[in-house]
Amino acid sequence: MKPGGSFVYMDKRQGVKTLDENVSAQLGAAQFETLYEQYADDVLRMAYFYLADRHKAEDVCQDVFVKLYTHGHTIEPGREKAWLLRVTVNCCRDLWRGAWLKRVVLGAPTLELIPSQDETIEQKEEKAELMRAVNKLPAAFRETVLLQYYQGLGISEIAQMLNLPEGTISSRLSRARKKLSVLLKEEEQGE
Amino acid sequence: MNDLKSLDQLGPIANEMLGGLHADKRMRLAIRRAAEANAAPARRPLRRLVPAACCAALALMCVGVTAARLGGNAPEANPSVMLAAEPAVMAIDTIAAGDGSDAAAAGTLVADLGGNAMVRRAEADGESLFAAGEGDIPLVTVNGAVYQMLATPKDVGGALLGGQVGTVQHHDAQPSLAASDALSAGLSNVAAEGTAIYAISGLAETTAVAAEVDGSMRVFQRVSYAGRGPGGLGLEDTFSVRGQVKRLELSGVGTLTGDAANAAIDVLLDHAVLKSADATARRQTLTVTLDSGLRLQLGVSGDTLCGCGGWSCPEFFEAFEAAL
Repeated sequence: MKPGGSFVYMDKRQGVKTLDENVSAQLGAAQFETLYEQYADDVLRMAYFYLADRHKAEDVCQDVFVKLYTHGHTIEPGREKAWLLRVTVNCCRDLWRGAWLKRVVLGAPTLELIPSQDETIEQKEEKAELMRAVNKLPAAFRETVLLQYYQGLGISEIAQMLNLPEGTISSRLSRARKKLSVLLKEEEQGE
Repeated sequence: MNDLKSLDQLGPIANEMLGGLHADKRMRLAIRRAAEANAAPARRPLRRLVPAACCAALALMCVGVTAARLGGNAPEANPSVMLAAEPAVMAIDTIAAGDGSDAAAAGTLVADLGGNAMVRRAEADGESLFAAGEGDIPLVTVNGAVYQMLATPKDVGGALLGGQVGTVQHHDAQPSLAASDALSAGLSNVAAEGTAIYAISGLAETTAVAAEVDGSMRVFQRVSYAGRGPGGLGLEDTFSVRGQVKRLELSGVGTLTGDAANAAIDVLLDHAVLKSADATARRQTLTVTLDSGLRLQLGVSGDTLCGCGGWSCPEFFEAFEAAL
């Protein structure tokens, strides 16, 4: 190591600290509040859309923001949303994989729509069909579609986030659209 | 009639159809409470540090006396200088490296502490979780502690990453084992210079860390290497898996899961006594699968478990056998 080098070492064994003491060494409380206000609904809805389980989505949201609280200071400024979505997708993946047996035995959960009470929903059924069809996509397709079409991320951002080549993301999106087309037809026939 | 054109409107549609779903104040309060609980690290019981420190001091004395006998004129002031002056080649046996596919290439490192290293073949009965290097083990160092790369997972999920604990200050494909300065800083022979080294959620950074290697976030487990052992740390410091074990597999013996696995690990962490600062050769392995899905491993030789240091614990093997 060069003399005076910028070696960073965080010793977790410095004793018990209160949350307020830790905030300065982690993420500022005000910054956390801002990010929570800005993205908590996105994280919650993304998790719910992925898992179709409200309780699990709330658990994911909680886990994601606890991680933000404790490790958020390491996030590159301007990349907060990408970080939050990456952690959200990873949490959802873990839960989805962990619950495979339950899905096999009890069947996959159905996405219940939770519209705002004061909103007038036009063409509700068509929109509901689209939502359910996206939710029925295989997990790898679903997360790619959600990140691009729901969260508005570009292919390169998604590739970076999921640690996959851009070609793989493009291919997944293409196959997801084909699969979605089939699922939408099935939804219509099921009416 | 629904078509794929509406997919472009998925954002507004989803926000409309899920508009009643909000992360409310109740959830924010729960997050603050959970963050507070996570922010408070457990106090380390002194009763485990005292015997560990005594054992470390005893081991250091033994090494010093041996070196003085063999070398005759070895300097006395600094134990590390005494070791460096010792001309005899000292074998430091690593955990047999690599996953199943790499098993044939798994080797035992033979190093003289003057700075040369080579690999000799070794056989391993238990499947090793450690990645193999062509010469030196694939490693990163954090604050002087050495961590060896695991063969799996190939890419640890972001959800498992903790805060940054170090940075690779120096990349060297063939690091000198005698360069204590390089080992003390962030050194790696696989991760590029400037790479951030992260803690792993649920594990002390003295147990395992993660760093990006060739575009993938890889896990590194703390090991003894080049005379760098546990220092004054106890086994639990370098293997902090208490209460989070899903599965415990002792190769050639059997497997414990759930509560039985956790109970056996409790016995190990409560009773292990440092036998040697350097890990020794072993054919058996103890593979620990954590609730997070991560797997860590200790080598086994007789009643000794080897990770960062060799730890004698006959009580653990008795408890393991009884629980089978």
